[in-house]
Amino acid sequence: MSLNSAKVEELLGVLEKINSSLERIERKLDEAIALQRSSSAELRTKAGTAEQSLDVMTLLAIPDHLRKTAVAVCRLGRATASDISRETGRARAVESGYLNQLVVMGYLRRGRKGRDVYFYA
Amino acid sequence: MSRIVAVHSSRGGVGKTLIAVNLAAAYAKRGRNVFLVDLDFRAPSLFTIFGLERPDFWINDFLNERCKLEDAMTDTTRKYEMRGRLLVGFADPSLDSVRDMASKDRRWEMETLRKLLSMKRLDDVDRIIFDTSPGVLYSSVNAVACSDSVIVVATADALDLSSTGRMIKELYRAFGKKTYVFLNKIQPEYRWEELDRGGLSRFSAELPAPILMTAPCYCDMLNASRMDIYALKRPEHPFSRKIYEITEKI
Repeated sequence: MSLNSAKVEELLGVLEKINSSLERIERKLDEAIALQRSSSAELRTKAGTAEQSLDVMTLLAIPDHLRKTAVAVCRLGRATASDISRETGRARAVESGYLNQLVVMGYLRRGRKGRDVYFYA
Repeated sequence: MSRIVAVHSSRGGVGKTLIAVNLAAAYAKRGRNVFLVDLDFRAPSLFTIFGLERPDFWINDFLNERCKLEDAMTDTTRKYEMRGRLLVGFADPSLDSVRDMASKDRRWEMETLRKLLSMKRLDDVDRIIFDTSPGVLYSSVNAVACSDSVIVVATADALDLSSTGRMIKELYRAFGKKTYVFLNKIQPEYRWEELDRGGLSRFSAELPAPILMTAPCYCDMLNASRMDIYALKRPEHPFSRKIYEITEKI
């Protein structure tokens, strides 16, 4: 069964909608993370603690599932969730969740280059 | 990509450096290209063991970003007859350097982790062997975190077995490292026939990792007036034979 051009147009339209929804979700996530970080930073400032560095002693202190992700970021330097997923062998969506948890905890930072979201220590 | 083996121990004086140096030499003698790195910044000893001229750059210089990695790799191959190459990253044994390395902050340690990981991309190096400081120090944990396997050297006394067992369970496992135990300097009271026949089970409760090798105290090595690399100078010595056996396993 071949796709006629009308069907193709329809599919493209759906893909565009999915893409812009994803971009909206990512913007919301950025805002949520920024909000959480600023309240965490406030707490840390009150407690007198410094910004977190991802050294090996810190790595030993974080949960096992996050440590694997964090070590992969240390190895690659700057990476997307897909890059980390290839290193760890875990699903991209799973790594994305762990990476964002590490950002909220203050161990990693997020950046964007075009459509790619990348993480670094 | 190079394979990294970290040689570690919970206490000092168990023979860790001797094993690391001889293992590196044995690999090189057998045709592998090896990079041996002195990461024991508290008590650097590789420079003394090899007895060469002061290098242009120490491994400290690379980690302190004063040189490239290649500048801190001293080629010792010409001194020995080997089929492979033996490159060494010497640590500066001066007190100033020991003091400097003991006072690094967390950010420096984090950057060092990244630099050590970058060594895996060295061209033409098959094996990287890290000689480490005993115990849980930043430099040692960095070495463990970067390695593909860990050889932990222990003696058979109760305190050493207990602390080594804890390190296997809490440190090496935390980083998912393949760990092997080298039980060294075993006293003559142990019956070797018993150990050879599988009598190592008495240790396995405390050491939850495979026992790669056992070795007795070799008085001639302890009493030697100078440090020879037995794997090169005396390959027929029983200690050397055990080291060569390890090169076939890892």
